[in-house]
Amino acid sequence: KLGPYINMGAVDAQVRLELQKEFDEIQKVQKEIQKSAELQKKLDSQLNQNTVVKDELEFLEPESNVYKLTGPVLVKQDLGEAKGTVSKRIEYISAEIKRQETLVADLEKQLNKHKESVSKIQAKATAVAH
Amino acid sequence: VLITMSSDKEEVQVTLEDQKKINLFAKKNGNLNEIETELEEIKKALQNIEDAGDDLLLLEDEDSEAIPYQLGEVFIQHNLEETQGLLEKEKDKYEQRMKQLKEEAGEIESMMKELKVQLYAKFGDNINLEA
Repeated sequence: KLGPYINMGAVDAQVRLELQKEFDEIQKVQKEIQKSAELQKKLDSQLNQNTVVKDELEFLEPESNVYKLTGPVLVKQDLGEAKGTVSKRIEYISAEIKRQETLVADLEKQLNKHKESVSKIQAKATAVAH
Repeated sequence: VLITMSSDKEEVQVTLEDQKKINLFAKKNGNLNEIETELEEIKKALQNIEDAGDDLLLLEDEDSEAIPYQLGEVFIQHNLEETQGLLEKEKDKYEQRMKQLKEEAGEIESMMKELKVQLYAKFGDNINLEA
């Protein structure tokens, strides 16, 4: 009986094509998740640094001298201004971290959807084969 | 991957000369990437220098007498005018390096272009030199 085999071959090619498409998507999403994870690591360490600086600034007397390093120059800054800058920086970084977390949650949803598709395609292919 | 050879088309003989050209192309492409990375760093440094110059102008007179300036591992204090001079020198240094790098990049690019012409002429679709 050659018939079923030939038919199977045709289904196989179609299934393979569908699976390949899903795998490509999965790889793409995983790459984006990895990218976001790296960014989050960087943001976390920036948040830590800025929190340490903020705590240090809180210890200072109001008339203390504060400098900011810009390029090769230490530029004197008003303490209040420095605190403001650091607070804003922390706000910005925190918001960015939240944004990345939402992004990853969304990407993981996409990833699961693609994995489900793979299972469905495989189940369908098995059902046809039997 | 920079260079891919596909074998499903008719076979083309790769001579030692061809392989040397391919290797040179790959090497030059690497050099070009390095130069681009350094140019990005220089751009950042120049931006910092400009920011520093702007910040200096906002300083109170009393704070402009002794401005710490980083030289290697230490900070040495200079007055406003001296600091601005140092920044200017630093800026010149980076701009010169930038000019030099851009010239190098131009030379590399024309060399790669020439190699591309030669290699595509011989290998056609069998070679992929995506820059």
